[in-house]
Amino acid sequence: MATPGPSATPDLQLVAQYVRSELGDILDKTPGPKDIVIQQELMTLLNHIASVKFLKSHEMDKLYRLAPQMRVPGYNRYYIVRPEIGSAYTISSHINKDMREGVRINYNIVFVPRNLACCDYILEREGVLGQVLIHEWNLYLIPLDEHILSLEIPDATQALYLHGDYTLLHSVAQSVLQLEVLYGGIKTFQAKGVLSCKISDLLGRLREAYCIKDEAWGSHDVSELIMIDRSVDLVTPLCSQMTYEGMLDDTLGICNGFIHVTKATTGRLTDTKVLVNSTDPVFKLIRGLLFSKAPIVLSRLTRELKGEYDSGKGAREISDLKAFVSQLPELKKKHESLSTHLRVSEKIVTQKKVEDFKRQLGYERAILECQDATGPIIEYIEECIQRQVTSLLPIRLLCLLSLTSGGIKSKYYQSMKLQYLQSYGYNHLSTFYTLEQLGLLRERTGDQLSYQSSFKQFNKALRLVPKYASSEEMEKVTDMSYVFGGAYLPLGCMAVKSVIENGNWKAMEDISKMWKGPTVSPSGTSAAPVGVKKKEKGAKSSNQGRRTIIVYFVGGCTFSEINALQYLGQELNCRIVVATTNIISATTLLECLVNSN
Amino acid sequence: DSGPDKDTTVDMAERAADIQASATADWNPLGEIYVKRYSNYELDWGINLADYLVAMSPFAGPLALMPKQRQTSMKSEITIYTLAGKKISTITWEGGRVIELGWTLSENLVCVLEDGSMIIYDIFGQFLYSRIIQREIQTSRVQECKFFSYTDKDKVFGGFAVMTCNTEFYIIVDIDKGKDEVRIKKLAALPDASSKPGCWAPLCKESTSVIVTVEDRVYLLSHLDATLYEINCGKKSATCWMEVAVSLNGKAVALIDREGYMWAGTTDFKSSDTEFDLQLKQKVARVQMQWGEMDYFVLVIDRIMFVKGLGKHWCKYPMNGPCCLLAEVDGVRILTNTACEFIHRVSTKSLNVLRIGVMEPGALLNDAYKEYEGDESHKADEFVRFIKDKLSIAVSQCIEAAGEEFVPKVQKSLLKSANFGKGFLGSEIQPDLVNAFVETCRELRVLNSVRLSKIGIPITLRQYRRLSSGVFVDRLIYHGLYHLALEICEFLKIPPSEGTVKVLRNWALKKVQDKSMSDAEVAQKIKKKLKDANVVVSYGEIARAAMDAKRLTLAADLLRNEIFAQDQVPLLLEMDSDSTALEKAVESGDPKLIHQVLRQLKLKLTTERYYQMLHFRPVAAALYCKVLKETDQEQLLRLYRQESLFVESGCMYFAQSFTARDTDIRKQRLFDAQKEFRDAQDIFATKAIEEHAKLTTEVVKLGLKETATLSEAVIWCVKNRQPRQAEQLRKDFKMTDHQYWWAMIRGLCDIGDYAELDRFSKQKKPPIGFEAFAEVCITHDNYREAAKYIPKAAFENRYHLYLRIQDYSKAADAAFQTRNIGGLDEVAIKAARTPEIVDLVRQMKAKLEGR
Repeated sequence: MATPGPSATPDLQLVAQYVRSELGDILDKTPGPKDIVIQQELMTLLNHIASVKFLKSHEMDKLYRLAPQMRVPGYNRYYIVRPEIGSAYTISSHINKDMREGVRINYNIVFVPRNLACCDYILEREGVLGQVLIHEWNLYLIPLDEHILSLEIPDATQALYLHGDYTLLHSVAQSVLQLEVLYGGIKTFQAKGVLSCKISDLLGRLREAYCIKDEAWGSHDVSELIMIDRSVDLVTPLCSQMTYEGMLDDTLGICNGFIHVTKATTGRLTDTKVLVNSTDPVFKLIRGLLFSKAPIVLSRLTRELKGEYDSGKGAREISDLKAFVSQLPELKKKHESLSTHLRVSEKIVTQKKVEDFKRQLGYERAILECQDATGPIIEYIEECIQRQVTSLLPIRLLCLLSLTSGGIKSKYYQSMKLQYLQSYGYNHLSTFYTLEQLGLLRERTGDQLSYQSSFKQFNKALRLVPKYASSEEMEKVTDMSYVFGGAYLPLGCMAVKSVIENGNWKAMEDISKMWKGPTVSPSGTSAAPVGVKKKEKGAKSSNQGRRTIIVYFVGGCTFSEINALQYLGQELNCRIVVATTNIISATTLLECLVNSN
Repeated sequence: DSGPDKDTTVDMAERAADIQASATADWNPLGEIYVKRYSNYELDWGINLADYLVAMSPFAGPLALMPKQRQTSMKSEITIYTLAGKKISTITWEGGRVIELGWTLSENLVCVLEDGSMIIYDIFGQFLYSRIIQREIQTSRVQECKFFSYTDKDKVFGGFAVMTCNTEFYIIVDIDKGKDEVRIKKLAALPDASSKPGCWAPLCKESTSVIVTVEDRVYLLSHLDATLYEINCGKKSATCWMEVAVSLNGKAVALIDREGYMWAGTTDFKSSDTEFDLQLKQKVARVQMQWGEMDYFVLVIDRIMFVKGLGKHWCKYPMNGPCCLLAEVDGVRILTNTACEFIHRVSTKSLNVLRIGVMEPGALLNDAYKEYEGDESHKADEFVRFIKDKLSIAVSQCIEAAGEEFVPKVQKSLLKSANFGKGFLGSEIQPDLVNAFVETCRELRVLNSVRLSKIGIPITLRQYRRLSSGVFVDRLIYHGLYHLALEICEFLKIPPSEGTVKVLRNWALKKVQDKSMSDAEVAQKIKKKLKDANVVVSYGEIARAAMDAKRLTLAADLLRNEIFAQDQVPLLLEMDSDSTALEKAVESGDPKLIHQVLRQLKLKLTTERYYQMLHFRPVAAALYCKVLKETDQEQLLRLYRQESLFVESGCMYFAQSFTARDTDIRKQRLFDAQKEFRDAQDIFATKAIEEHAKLTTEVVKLGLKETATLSEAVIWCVKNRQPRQAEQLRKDFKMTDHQYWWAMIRGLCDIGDYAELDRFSKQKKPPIGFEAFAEVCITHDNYREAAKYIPKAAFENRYHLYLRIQDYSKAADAAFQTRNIGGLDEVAIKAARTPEIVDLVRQMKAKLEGR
């Protein structure tokens, strides 16, 4: 389990403590030894909340992974699941099987975060509702790291934007309330986008329902909450990520804060799951760096480590040796972490095929520049389709092109679609409807003007894709564009920056009238501009007085954006905590859309 | 903060003396202690208690009277009064013969009938429930019944016991919990079953049992067994006990026989502190006996009331008519034809201050104040100086003494003394003392207001504290004294959730039953009151009460004000406001609630109506679709079609055509899908599906698996040297040149037929450029072949292709020719290990930059 670094205030581990004790209470409701059967996707999440030791202290016998067919011996059983129909069916089949065999067991179902009537319905229909005790474990945000909170709902983006399933909005609102309970009331609330505004409305309702008044809060550890819809900036998550952390997610996939490292990569006997967050001393240093710069730091660390080991060899005095030995566990940890990351980055390099990747980045940049001539880009996408490298790449580029240029010309669009079907199979027919529905793809027919994209306007006004005289200059950028190697300033993060600096969304809205969705800003009082605060802080220069801002992405955010916002936090001398419904990458976002059939 | 009443007139010293005199005038010495008889109310109700069954309830609760029935099943009436004789309600009685009336702890009236049934009413005479106590009793019939309440430390417990005609005993408890929760316990049989019991009484300790006497023998009947107790009494002749009384805490018992001989002691009958003979002239027919506190009990024999203290001490009061007694925690309530009285021991608290000649600091402070009031301030000063060190104690004693008093004037006088003393303490005063003062003032003000005869609850401060303010407010609510309850809540600063909210909630629940007002009036009144109080009271609950009272319009009106969707929506469903229910659920954004409504509606409505309902509510529809997707796809398809979502249904049919096992079903699904897309006027999809079907047959003919794509099929043909089939596919599916060329190149490279590839490249100018040839060769790691095509590629692309086949000098050359300095740099980095190249690049760069 992750142990927090002491530096961060407010400490996000409070959230974990809070939900952990709630789980403890639920487990204590049935005394005696018990088995816990947990849904696969919640298993890794549990690592962030409760250790096996904690569960054992609440009389857990064994922890099982929920499977259709399984043997669980004990007489008290807890199922921990999301309120989904599938898991309700599985549990029902277990219970019915036990009943047929005449086994009597105390069943508990813990729904995370809440029970829904559809599950009751299944349990009732299968005739087991009377056999189970139902609990609700209000697990919302999970502190994945000292600056990341996530609901970890893997299909959040699709649920919200594709299926119109707003179940999550309630969870988001509840999670904000939970944060307020732990860290005190949040004075300033800014929202952008339809969903965020809905959540703002919901929050108001919940506060009224729980009779929470503004004065009721003692402390105010978080000064501001900025909530932003993913649909406000769909471009950024489709760009190839270039920071170490982002690249890791793009290629190996970071799942609930862990990466899965195969035995082929590590050279160990088995596959391992490695926690990648600030508790990893090496990862902490390189996560936010451009991938290309990571090897430099890694080799420096290797040299340092060697030096530290050598210092042991040179030790003569017993006391020196003693000191060295006491350092050994830490050195070993560092060593292990270093070797993992060296191997992992090696793996990424081979997987990415540098030359291809460079060429692809070139085209990506061309797309972001919003050039009028799209011929070569279309040709490149066609090549990708025909060479069938991956099914995602051509889709990703098509979506990017559509988003930046306000749609793809009908004749290209039809031909790309047909070629894609012929190349990857006609079952992808619905993929295109899905993408269109999500707003990622758009067919441009008829008159040009109505297809002006807001991205183009932002690009022009904010210089999202800066031009550089040379590649050296590009590498030395000192703004958030560094996460894309200086090639692109992520739009969503720029919006966040603007709202932090201006106290409202007006500056952004002035640039593009077409910018998606309504906004919520605190009426009357606008937050003090950061510039003023900065000067005050200059005198104190302590971390204590820094304000904490939570940026909440509804519908997911990428690691690159988290990296960029961390950078922004340093720039503005404030602490930025990123909260999100889920962490996405172009791969995870598109994968389930493309393979939905 | 001053006394209970603000009075500007200055009390004269004489008046104070009067007050003290009147405060102690009714004290009667009883050995070491004093008893005081105080009349709370004069009754002018024209009732002769001798003709009635009387039931009083503890903690100054209500009182029920019923004319004694001579025969079974006579029409009669039960009337409920306050202790001040004010009628609360009347119950018309047509049932069987009532043996006894009594009250439960929650102030519900219990009628125990001869036929073994019990009927429960609330104080307003509303029927709550009735039940047969136990089948056996129905046949044996009830002979006697006795109510009991047990109060000790923090436990309060009550019920009744019955004795049947065949001398069996039953204990009945938990009456307030409802009809089916009543607990009944049969006790062990009386060993002397043949002889008639003299007297009996329930006894509560760890468990409830009954003390029964048969002549001089005393039995204790518990659930398990009967125990005989020998009482060592000094009386010579054999006694025959005729009355027994047990104290409220179950620790003391008193017995008396026909000749007036008494024995009182512990309930284990081991030790006695009182044996006394009243030496009555004649045998008495009836004795009433109740314990006060542990050191005295009250008896009424004929027209005389005795108060019996410990040992030999006793005193008596004349009674001018019939009366009833009821034990309270701090005394005995006496009801007569003309008054409601209370007799109790004068507590030490009062003695400390008011007893004549006492030298306690409190008494001296009281004297000091009296002197001060009488303008004898030097005397006052002297008194105060005398108790200087004990001033805190003095103040505290005065406060405590005030709390014991019924008469506001006396209370006020004592509190003024306390306040006077407080003044001398100045800033050194302990906060506890200030609190006690303020608290007592508040409490007395509350008690005085409920003691007024129009309310009629003569509760003492000790009883009140024993009940706790919360329970007390509950009682007021139960009595319908909402206004008073509200004021008290505010005055005592009870938190809204336990006070105001509770009162208003109950008030509103009652109000909706008030048929004298129109729906609109009631609604308006409730809304105004709740709004003014600025508290959150569940409108849902009130609306439900209105619905139960069959006032649907009122319910609907009230429900509109509910802010908790959870409380609102289920009721809306019940009221058949389906559409509003769904709307409110959606508005609340609570998925749990939406699911709940959806499920209810699904069960309730026809499919058609249900779909209509969903039509305007995409949020709800989305949730329903999600459920259907996993449970009932056919239903989902029906919904899609109903909503003209042809693309959705088309995609779904199409998806099913891939998963269905049966070939016929697959074909059917494909056909269905095509139809849907045609309805959606989606030409592209219609054609795509057609092509898909065609392709499937073609690939199967070729011997490939069904899911093979067109590209895969063409490549397969190339690889298997079937150019004619490849050509055919190209024609059939109108493949573009680009597509076809890519497939050819990939196929040929896959099988390593580079000669054929070369030939193919020369057929005509490749539409995808020679770069493609080079690229594919490179991915197949064949740099030699790739090198053949690079010179034919466009100039600007050559250098990076050369780079990739690691021919650095050519790469440098190509970059130089296109004047690409960045390209040259790249070459230099790649070829860092070959000095010649690095050198070459440097020269080239110099040349380019030089010009």
